[in-house]
Amino acid sequence: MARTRRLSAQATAVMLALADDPSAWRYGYDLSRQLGIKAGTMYPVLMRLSERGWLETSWEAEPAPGRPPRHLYRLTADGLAWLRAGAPATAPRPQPA
Amino acid sequence: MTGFLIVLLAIASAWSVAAWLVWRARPSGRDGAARLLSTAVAALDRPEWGRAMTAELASVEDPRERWRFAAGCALVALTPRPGRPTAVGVAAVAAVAGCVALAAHFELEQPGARLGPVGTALLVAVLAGSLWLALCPPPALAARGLAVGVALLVGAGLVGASRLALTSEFGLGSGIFFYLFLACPLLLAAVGAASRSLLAGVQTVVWATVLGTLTVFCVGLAEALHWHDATGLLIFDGEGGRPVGTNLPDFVTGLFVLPLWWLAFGLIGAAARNRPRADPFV
Repeated sequence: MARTRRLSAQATAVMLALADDPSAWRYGYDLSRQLGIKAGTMYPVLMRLSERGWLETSWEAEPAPGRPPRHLYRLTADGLAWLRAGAPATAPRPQPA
Repeated sequence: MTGFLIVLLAIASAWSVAAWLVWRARPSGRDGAARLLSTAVAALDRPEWGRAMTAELASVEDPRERWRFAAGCALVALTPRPGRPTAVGVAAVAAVAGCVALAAHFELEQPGARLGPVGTALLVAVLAGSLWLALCPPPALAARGLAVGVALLVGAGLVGASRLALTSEFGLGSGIFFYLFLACPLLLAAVGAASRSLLAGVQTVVWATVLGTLTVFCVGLAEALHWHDATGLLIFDGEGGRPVGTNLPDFVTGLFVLPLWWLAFGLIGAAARNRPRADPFV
């Protein structure tokens, strides 16, 4: 049932940003800066997309020295299929900050 | 007026001690933003996402941006998310319903029960706040089942204290006062201290305070009717010559004052037990 629910503009923007290069892993903070979405909105969006199975997550294999591994995100095949079905065609993209 | 100032001073003192102890037990971290995030993610119900946020913050260098990021993530822990109602939440809704029923009974049926606009606003605000917590608690204030037991104990204790005071020759009224303002806060402090972490302690005492004060309102008003029938006195202060409905404004004041007093002691108990360490919230 969750798959048929509409996505928020922010969630759609995240999906579209990830779709720019579907094979690339992205950081949550970088996505947040690119799209001008605050962390308090970005993480719930990432959580929801992940729960829907549209987002794949992973941990950085080789973190920077002295820093913990960062969480990475990219679209799953289901997420890409949803985008290609044209669902977000009417959703606006938030402007970068 | 002097009595009011004494109560205010006592509550402020208790909260000062609680704030100092909680501050002492705060998580360590590179800076304030890291400590804020560390506290917030400990309260988050999804540990993996908490670790993700913490790792992201480690890669942010600009101090302003660090604060902005940490505050945004902290909001995630504080923003209520609709979910399945918990047993504790259902108990809180039932307690609110009981409060509404008793307040309505007093207001409509009992002589002298006039709340006025301020009292009514206070009652509505406290009950609405309790309902909000019951139906849509933020992840940081996850419900703790122990709170229901504490509230039942508080209610049973109130009946016991009330009946004991009625049958004893001395301390009519003062027994209830000491029970509510001394025994109950000590119970809350013990409950907080018995919790396995500061976060668990805070969650338990918040829920126990909310459920406990609602229970006191319901049980206390029912006992007040019994008291007035038996002695013609008001239950809170043992004052005579006033209609039974006068108990209602007293209990509405209690609904506001008791949580402030109890919660401070609960936090003191929870924070005193958790010595400063790397992550006291876990």
